[in-house]
Amino acid sequence: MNTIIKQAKSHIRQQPFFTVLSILGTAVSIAFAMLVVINYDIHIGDITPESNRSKMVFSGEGYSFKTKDHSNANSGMSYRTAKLIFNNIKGASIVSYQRHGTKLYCGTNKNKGKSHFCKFVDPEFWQMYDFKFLAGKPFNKADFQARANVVVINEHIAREFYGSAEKSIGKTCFCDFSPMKIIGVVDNVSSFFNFAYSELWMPFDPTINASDPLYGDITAVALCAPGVSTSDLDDQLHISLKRYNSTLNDYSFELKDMCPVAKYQFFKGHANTTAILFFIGLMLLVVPAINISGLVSSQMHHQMSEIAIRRCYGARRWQLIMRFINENLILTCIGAILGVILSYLMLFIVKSWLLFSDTSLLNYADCRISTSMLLRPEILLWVVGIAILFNFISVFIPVWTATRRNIISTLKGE
Amino acid sequence: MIKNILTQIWNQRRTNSWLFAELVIVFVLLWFCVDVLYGLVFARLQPKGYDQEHVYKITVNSRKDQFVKMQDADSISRFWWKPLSEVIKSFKQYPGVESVCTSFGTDAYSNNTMFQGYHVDGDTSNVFVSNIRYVDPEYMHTFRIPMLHSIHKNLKDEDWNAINDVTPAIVSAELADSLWGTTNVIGKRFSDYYSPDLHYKVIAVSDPQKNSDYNRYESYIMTPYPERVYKMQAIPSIYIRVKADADNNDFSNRFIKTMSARIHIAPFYIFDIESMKYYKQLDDAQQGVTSEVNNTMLMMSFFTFNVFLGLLGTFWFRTNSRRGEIAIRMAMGSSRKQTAVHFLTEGVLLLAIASLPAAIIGLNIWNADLTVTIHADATVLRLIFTLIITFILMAIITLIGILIPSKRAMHILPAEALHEE
Repeated sequence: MNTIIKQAKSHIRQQPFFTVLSILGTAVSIAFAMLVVINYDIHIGDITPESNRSKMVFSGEGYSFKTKDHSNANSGMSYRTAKLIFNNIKGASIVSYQRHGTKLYCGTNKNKGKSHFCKFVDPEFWQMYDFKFLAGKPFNKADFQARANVVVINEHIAREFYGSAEKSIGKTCFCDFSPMKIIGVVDNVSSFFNFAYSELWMPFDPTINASDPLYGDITAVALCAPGVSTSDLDDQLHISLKRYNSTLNDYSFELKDMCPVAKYQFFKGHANTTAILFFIGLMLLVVPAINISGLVSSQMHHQMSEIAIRRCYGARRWQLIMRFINENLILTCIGAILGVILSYLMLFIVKSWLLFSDTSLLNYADCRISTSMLLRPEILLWVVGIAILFNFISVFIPVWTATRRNIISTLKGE
Repeated sequence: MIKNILTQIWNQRRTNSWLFAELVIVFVLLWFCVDVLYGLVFARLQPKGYDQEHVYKITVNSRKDQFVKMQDADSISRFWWKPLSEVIKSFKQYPGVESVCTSFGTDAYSNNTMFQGYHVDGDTSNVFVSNIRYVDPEYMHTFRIPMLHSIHKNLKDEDWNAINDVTPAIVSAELADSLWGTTNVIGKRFSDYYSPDLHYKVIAVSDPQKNSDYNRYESYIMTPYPERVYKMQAIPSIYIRVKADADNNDFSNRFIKTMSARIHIAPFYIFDIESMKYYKQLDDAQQGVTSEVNNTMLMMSFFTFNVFLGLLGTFWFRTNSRRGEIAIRMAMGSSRKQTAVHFLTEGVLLLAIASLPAAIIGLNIWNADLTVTIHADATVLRLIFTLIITFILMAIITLIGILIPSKRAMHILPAEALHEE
């Protein structure tokens, strides 16, 4: 080990340009690969408050039409339809329904309000997601059924309305000119969490009439029961959808985007995300790997005679290969550390640009990225893996070809 | 000189192979990215069929505490539409406002869409689906919709009245083309497929319309509000056009403050006013265009940086190991500038050779329909254009990458270099 470090040191001193180039190349490619991984992870990872993403199946928007001539087409799903499809699914432990979030005029009195983002949810919503309650509690089934005028707000709103989370509990705020009692204050949620994010959450009207249309503005999320995979649950839901369609006389109802949340987050499940991301990731590694390989092989020219002499004295080929890989591993490590730092730097500079979503444009959007979203052991593990793989690809091939050359012709300088 | 360089490239094929492979791969990847951006830029540059500059959308809502659900058409007209029209009328009095209009149905820059099927009278086998937008006559002025053909140069309010149960309609060029195969169709009649007793007569044909910058052209029909709208407690989309000299960043803030204080017409209040520019941004974001552009740019910058690094490194070592050659060239009368040009030409030639297989790969990708064609068609012209752009882009990076090492080569002293060994 000592000799390797010693050699690496002298190597760096002798070849400062190569070192800089190699480290820079590694750092930049690691940084980009990190950005891709972080971007992927932020969208599909189990991160509080959406800590069940890997077990969730999302309904997507519904679409209904008259089967005969495709007339009366409407997008959306009503609460009644959603309930008929999503209730009594064996593979689901919790099903939560929510209405589309919307901007409402909210304030402490009717004359002093501002536009805020509100979501209409059911009591299961609070079990589905992991909210941190700073004060009070969520509304329960009884509140929901009684159509109680209660609301849960985030810390930011609580501070704006009544100064603090504790002071807000039990107070009244006006949403769309009707008085609501604040019963809970949760920690702010970043707008990257498109399922959980809102500023105010309130129960929607759970009344169901037999005359309700198929369309509406409800979406449903089902959580897998223990031992059930998301694809199983997805299958069960599609069967239930089929069964529901067979009860409809003139109409057809579709849930084209229904799929596990991890899939839905990219292209709404309509593209093979894993394949695309794998390809992008591969390209992000292959291009710089060729780069470093090219550099190493130009560099190798100067070390040809060293290799030949070592082999003359009985060094085995794999020993030589390991030697170069180890030597380069030090450069890769420096590059990887720089790369990680660079990726976080880039993330903070371009985060709104890179992780752009439609909610980030709302003027009250909270595009915070907390450290818990980024400093996740999985991500760092990924980086270590990428760094080793990267080093291996970029050094192995040129060294392998170099050691294959005939010793005698190398020493002769041919 | 070029033949000489080509021989040199061939002789150094061993060290060139890595660079060559990288150039080919990056050329293909960069071309793909350029192609994606081309599609977006192409769609963006197409005229949209309306002008949304200085147009604002006003959201008027009804207050929940003053809202009364009504069934009877008469009371809806008296207690809903009459106060609402007063609110809308009052917007026109605000200084700087040029025109006010309202619409129902497919909204500009929104996924709020409404469709209907239409056919030429008597031919119910060919039904064409079209976006429908119910508008008032002011809509054409507010959005400055250019007309291909029209019964009057400027449509008048009375053109908007139904005659003998035939509703006037403005169809977009796309719809006219689908229905009749031509766009000069003034006075022609057509009908609604789903409500057979709804008949229309074309009073104007508008330029092709699209809902947002990056979409393709779609069929549109613009017609007056149907009676049934007035039996509902609905609020249309309200737009105002502001005079160019009155429009500034503070306009929406001042507008909402002044108007909210001035208007107290139950059950309505002004909730929001935003420029169409904002709705465009929001729509781009919702469609994923913004992130598509951002990600593509990020990828491109990554690939170009890598090519830059690769060329810089390879040519750096090359000028080092070819000091003798450079020195001999200089001793034989080659100027410093010629030495630099020699290296730059070598790089560009290498790129030119690499771009041949890359172009063939690109052609195959294009041929296999693997390019992104959501926003624009994959034409031959597009392929050629994007390949040329990619080559120019790569050539620029190549020149920058080699410039530094070749500058170094320029400063080699022949006497010293030849003396070294």
